[in-house]
Amino acid sequence: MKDERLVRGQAPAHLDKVTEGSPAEAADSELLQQIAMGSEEAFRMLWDRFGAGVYTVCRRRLGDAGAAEDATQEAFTSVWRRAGTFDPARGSAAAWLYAVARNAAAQLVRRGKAGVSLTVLDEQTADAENDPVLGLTLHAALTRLPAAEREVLELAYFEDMTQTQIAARLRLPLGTVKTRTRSGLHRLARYLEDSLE
Amino acid sequence: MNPDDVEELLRRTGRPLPPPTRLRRAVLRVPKGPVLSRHPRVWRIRIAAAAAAVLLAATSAVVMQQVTSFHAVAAVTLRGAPGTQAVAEVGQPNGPNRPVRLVVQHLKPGAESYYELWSLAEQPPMMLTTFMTDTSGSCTLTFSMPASASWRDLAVTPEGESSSYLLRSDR
Repeated sequence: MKDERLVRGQAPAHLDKVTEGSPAEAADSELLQQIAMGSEEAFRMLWDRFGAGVYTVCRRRLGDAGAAEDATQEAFTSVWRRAGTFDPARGSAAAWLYAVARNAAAQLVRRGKAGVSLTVLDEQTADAENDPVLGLTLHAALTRLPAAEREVLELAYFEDMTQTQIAARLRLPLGTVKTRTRSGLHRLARYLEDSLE
Repeated sequence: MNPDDVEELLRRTGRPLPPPTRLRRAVLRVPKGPVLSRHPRVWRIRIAAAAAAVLLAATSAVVMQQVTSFHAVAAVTLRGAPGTQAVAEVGQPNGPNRPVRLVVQHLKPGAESYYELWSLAEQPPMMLTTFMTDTSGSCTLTFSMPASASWRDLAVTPEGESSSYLLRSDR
């Protein structure tokens, strides 16, 4: 059987600047640079940050769950193979990942997978598609928040719960919910600025 | 970007769709290669292979139960270095064969070689079976020997060293 083990190319010159450190603390672009140097831990961390976002992009573009899985897997295979081609001077990691995901979805359609065409599911998803890179960046940034802050923000903005309702659900003082919301939003804003620089 | 912008963005973007667990597993296998496809045909093959494995295991279990369900009529203890021991339980002959259950303890496992069990009462000595031990030096196996062969003087040797007895029956 043919050995399809992926072979890594030589890291580009700009990767010399990457500092060694924990991928958990690394910026998105640093993760890609560590992946280019063969870090499986960075690859896992990139999946944890962007996996859901990339899958969402593929699902919205293809409309079919199975095809979206194939496209997402293709996209991350490309990330592993081609992370060395990412140049932070030319754009954000999220923008590069979005392009990779979009290409993976398009290739799936070009290969003629039955019943799959590029599409947008409905009006709501169409709104999110207006700035998909920002959405991808936001979803990745959310995963970097402390769990307590992320939980409060998700209940507030994805479940439309009031802070009082969140306090009751989580059995927390209202003040704690407000504090976590505030600190979470500030932290998120900082991550977004870092990622979109 | 300020917190108000983030709030607005959160509301507009919504929650991402949760990827299936199998997708995470598949993606995280990518660095280890080979890359596996989620193609339905592959899944059908995998399901068929899994079903065949289950059927084989069930059949083996039934066969093993038949093979191992014998009543020992005699037992031979083999001894060697301190702590090293084996017991061969001998059953009633069943046609031309006689079932034997061998339980080995503390026989150091060979890296790539196996052990051989001999009947020394036969002339020349007859090899009855081969086996390997696990990391603790143990193994239990059931096999058949010719009903006409003697089981009263048994020995265990390393592979290919038929005169080097690691274990030998009490005489």
